[in-house]
Amino acid sequence: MKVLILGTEIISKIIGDSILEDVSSLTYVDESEINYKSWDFTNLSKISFHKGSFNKIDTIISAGLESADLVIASTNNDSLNSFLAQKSKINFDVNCFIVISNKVMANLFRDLDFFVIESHNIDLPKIINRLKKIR
Amino acid sequence: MNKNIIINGINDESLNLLEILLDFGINDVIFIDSNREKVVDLNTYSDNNIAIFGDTVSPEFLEYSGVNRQETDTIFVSVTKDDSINLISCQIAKYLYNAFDVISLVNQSENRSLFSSVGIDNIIYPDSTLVDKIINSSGGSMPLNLMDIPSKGTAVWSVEIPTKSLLIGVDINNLNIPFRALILGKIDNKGNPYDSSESLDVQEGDSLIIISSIRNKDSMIRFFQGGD
Repeated sequence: MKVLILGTEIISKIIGDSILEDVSSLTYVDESEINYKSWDFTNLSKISFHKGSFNKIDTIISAGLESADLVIASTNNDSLNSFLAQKSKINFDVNCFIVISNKVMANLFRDLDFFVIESHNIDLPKIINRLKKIR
Repeated sequence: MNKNIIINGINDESLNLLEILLDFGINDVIFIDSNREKVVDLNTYSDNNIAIFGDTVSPEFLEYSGVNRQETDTIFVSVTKDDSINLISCQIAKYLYNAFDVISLVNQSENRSLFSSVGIDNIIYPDSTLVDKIINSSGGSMPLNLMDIPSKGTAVWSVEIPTKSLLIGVDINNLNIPFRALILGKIDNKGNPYDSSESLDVQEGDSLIIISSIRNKDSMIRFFQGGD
């Protein structure tokens, strides 16, 4: 199972760590690799980093969007996460998780049929269960 | 019912836009922006405090701005340079607060189908008219958007038939268009209009007047340019 994580916030790392066992590859995408380079991973062979601007879909495509099974939008910006997830889902029919901090917005995107991870209340077992369902 | 207009995004044209709206008797207008300086500037140059500073993708701030005001119909317009802000603020206005109408600027052409697909289909483009006109003037055949049909994702188009089109000589009623489209008629190269109910051959330089979805623009270019 190939997973793209958009963003290299602390929550991106927490989610990546929790799903690493269940995926075949995990690619982090961000405009800067500063955070990524500061991280320690237990299984480096599965993990990679792709640098590029989120303003262009080409960045996510070249990171492997077309063959990805799941995209997790977890930048530090709710609207960017919601935007990137919708773009990925609608243009490439890929499963998407959205990290959102605003509760009202989180409910809105749940109503729009997205799997939402609330950044202030991360439920890792729920994320892993959902991942297994996709797999 | 009265209308209140919320415009997300302040730019050099905001004051002009306000004046035009006032000329049309639309006077319940506020601007919102996440750039404090722009808000202060606009309030300085306008007679009243018409701009509010805040996070324009925050539901709480949009509420404060009046997106769900009682006894008025809210028209929410987002014209920032950031498509993610335009899309999400419009989705919040439309789906969370049931705004009467939402209108969005789409800056990047790659995002146009996304906006339509999620129901934000009353959209405007920053440069489409200019680009289309330049391409048409250069001998291409870009469909010219004459008018959006509000809230439908559909538009009235004018398509000029280029010299190399394989459609030249084909009866207008026998065009096998590979997408859903309605041909209303044509205007010949002398400016004479013809109704599509007549038997008419397509001629070089004709402009066909068509109703079709905005999503079909690229298909229209391929069909009328190459005649496939």
